[in-house]
Amino acid sequence: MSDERDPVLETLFAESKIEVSENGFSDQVMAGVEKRRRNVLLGRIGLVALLVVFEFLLSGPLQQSAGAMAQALSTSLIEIETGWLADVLAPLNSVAGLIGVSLVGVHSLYRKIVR
Amino acid sequence: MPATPGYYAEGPEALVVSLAAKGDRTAFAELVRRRQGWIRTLMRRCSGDPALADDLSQQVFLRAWRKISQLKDMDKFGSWLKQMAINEWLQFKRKNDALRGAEGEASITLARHDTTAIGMDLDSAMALLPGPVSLCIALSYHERMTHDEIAELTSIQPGTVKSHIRRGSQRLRELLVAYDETKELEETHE
Repeated sequence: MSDERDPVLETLFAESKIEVSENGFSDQVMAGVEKRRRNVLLGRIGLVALLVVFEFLLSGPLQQSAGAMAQALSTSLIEIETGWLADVLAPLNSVAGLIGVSLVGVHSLYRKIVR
Repeated sequence: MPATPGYYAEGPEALVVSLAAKGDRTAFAELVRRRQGWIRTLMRRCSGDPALADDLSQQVFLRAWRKISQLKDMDKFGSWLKQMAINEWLQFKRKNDALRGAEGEASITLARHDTTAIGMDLDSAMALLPGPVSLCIALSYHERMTHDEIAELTSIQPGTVKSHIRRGSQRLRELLVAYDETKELEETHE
């Protein structure tokens, strides 16, 4: 590969030396570094504080709600005596299954109407 | 006891880099002090704008501070930083060119009085080139890098580097045509 350079441009680049003075540039960069470090620290403290508050205020009610909802959703619609058959049909034979099937039905109906 | 500014001034770079990678801000400040001139000059060459060059250089160092703990080979800090500067410049130009539109038919008014004016004219002309083109030109003419070295550093195909440099050189010659005429006049007088 040829790396030849244009002689006129070479001269111009050589003649136009750039003088860059420090002028507090390093201090500005380090101020930015310090600012970032402070922001990261504050962000972490804020996150931890938020998690602690969340834990204190909401963990109990949330756990209770989740438990109650799980119980309600898994309630059987029809009592099946045979153990293995009850297990097989459990995904459909429950409140959650009924909601799922209803949602699929509503979605299909909506698509038919829209078309 | 925390190190004071200048504490690492005489230290070998690889050692200072490894200390900075462990979170020593004084060591990093020393790296900034050592490398700032080179990065700012390269950015100035590429952008043609001193204020913009300083802003971009600052971004490069802040990014370097965030990522220095990931640097595996401490001896390669210089090329790692150079790579980061190049990425910063290309990223900036991609955003800027998308907003401004591609290479325009702009021209510049040449100052042409002394070496400072030559620098200003060159900066103005460089600022009119698309990002990758000005970068290849700066690395070739300012850094004296070969096409292969530029291709390796910028991850641009060698053929594309060559064409960027050829196209950029032509465009610069068009923009700085008055310098050709001055040169011809000087040669005639001689």
